[in-house]
Amino acid sequence: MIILADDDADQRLALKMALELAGYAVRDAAHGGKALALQRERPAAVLITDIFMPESDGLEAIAVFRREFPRTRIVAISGGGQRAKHDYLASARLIGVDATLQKPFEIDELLRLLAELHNPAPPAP
Amino acid sequence: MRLRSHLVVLVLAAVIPLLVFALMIVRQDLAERRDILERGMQDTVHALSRAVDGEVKTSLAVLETLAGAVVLDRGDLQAFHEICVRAIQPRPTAYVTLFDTTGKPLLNSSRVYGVALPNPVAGTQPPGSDSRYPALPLGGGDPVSGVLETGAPVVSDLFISLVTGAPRISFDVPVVRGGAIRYVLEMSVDALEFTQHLRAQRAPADSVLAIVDRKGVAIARTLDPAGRVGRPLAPELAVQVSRAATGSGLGHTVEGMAVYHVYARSPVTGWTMSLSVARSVALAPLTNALAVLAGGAAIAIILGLAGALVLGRRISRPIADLARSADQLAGGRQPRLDVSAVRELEELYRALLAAGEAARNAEDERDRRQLAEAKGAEAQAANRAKDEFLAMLSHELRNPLAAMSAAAHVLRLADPASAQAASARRVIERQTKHMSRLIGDLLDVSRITHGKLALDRERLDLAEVVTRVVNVWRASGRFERHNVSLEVASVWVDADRARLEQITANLLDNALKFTPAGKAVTISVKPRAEMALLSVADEGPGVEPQAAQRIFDLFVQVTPGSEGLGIGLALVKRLSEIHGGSVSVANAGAGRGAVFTVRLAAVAPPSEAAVDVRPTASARRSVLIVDDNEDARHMLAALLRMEGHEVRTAADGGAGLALARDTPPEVALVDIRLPDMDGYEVARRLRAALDGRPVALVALTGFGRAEDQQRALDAGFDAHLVKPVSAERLKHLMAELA
Repeated sequence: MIILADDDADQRLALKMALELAGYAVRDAAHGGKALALQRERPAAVLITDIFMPESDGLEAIAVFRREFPRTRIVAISGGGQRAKHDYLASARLIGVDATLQKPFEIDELLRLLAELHNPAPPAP
Repeated sequence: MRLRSHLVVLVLAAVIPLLVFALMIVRQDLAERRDILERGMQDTVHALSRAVDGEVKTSLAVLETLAGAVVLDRGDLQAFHEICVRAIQPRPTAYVTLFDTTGKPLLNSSRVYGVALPNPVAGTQPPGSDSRYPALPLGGGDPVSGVLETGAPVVSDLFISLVTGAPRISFDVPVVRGGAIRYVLEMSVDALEFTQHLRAQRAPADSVLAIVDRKGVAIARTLDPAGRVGRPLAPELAVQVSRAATGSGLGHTVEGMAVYHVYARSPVTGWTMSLSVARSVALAPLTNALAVLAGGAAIAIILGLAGALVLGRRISRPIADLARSADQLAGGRQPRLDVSAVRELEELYRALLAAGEAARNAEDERDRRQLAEAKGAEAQAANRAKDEFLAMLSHELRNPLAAMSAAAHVLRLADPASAQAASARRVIERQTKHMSRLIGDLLDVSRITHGKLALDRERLDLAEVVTRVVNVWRASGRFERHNVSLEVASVWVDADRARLEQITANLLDNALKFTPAGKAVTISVKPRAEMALLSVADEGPGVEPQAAQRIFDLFVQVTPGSEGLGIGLALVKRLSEIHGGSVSVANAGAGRGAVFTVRLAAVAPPSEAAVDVRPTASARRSVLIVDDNEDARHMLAALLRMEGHEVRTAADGGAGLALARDTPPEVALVDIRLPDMDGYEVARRLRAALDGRPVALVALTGFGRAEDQQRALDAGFDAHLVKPVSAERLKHLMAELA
């Protein structure tokens, strides 16, 4: 199961659909806090999160996930790349995400990454 | 007080005590000199007194000796006459007279013995009888009477001799025999003899030495003895002499000479020795010293004052110049100063110059540094803004691309008829519009910045324009998370429809971005006092007062961490301004959100007939699309077909022209960039091929610049569409071309 956190509704919707078509069970959250709530409710094997979200910092969410759910794999995505000379993906790698992706990315690439990273459970019953 | 006055005071302060001191010394010196002079004069008179006394005593001793002669015992007067003549021989002017106790002269050594002699006692006449010596008595009886009365020797005062008729002095002694006075022996001396004694004294120059008898009559005198002997002393001096036995004082001689006078009375004779020294001589040292002192003081004071004035000017002028120099320095000019004689002033001048130079350098340096810092800060700020902007642009472009990429993936896999495919298509539509608006905004910013934005003005109902934008957004689901309400009242403006839509969209975008889900956004349009007001009120955090100034600046994001490029509100401001309007922001209250208000000049509504000629639905038309981009071609065709138009498509100019010749279209949408020929060429050939038949030519370009539009119109196009073409715009255009 995957938890998908992104503040952009279309992004979230499109990615969720793409992942579902690939056979993943996906729950989505508009910000890091919501993702954390979902995880605490029912832990997911993978977290895919945007890093730069206005309401809650993606990095903050990643840090909490790392602490509370060390076994959950995390994929960080970001469109910003560099903002004000600060590389968010680099920061994410520093705090221990499993993989990073720069927007825009091919869905196939994400799927390949997920497959390599982890053998996610088949769609939850 | 001026410097010169200070110097004068300084000079006087130095000179005056010196003068006083000198005066004191001179006074002391003078007192000493006067003392010395007086002592000298006193010595002179005392010496004279002793000499006269000696003379008198000698004479008296001679008389005593004669008085003791044996010949007198027996009364042999003739023999005594002889003895006397011999005894008196050495003194030619003196003679000896023998009187009996009645005062009758018995013999005189200057006469032959036995000759009759005048009786001085009986013959004495009252004073004044001789016109030459009015103060002198005649004869010499007085001393004889004195001897007879006292039985002691007597020295006479001056008298006129009955024998010689000239002034004489006599000394008388008694001749005692058997205890009684038998005779009186007298020696008479010419007064001139005493003048000889005076001359023997070394009296100072310009002085008068005199011997005065007990009655105040001069016996002898160094000056004019012939005229003055026998006459009284000058009254001033006589008064002094009458007061004490010795003393000194100032006075005038009978000749009128101002003198310093010293006198002493002899206890032997009772005569007074008087020495008068001319004051000019006596007080010469004083006068000289005072004159030298006065002259020296005057010279010292004059030189000092002159020096003070000159020096004062020498010092004060450079100081005044220096003061001026300081002013010039303050004014930033290089002052000039004539070299001063005062070294300190020169040094001050150099120091002043150096200080001025240093101050100027420091100021220049500071200015340069400030300028450099300002430039640096400006450049840094500009750089940072640019970095931020590029980062944000990257983010803003990547996000929709990511969404579209995912949606395309879904479309590739999902059943086209499925709800998922429909969602994916909507995602793509929304993101396309979003990106196209983003790029449009960027281009607009560029155009406005370069002053190249041309307005396509028409008379519009602002309420209608805003309502359409809101309806489109609502239909697209962008208001799903918010409670958006619209309050409009019709108000007409002279404006560019597309730009009004852009203003509205940007304000809405901003409001939605900052308003939390579930909160309200209120859009209103209303007329107010010749103005048309468009307000968008949100329930976001509001705008900090200090941020309100910058919120409309380009690339500025006053809320840290917010998304967007920072150009939306800047565009609103500039678009409002080129319409002659303005935009402002106000806080509805702390935490109660912000209200953005655009003000445009209101115009009169058009007449009824002109209102709303725009058809809401267009007729069915024959449309030809010439575009080498397959996606664009298909999308446009699909949109037009949905509207009920008959559509044919061609991938290049040649194919398009062939289709047009086959069946002439009513509308042709031609991409400007085609592989075989450009859109302008296609337009010209199409017009030629149709040979005057009406056709609406629409240019499709990726550029929205005014010159692109103008070039298209010049080439014979009727309208110009910027890719990507929205369904709304296309629909609107088709209606306009009807």
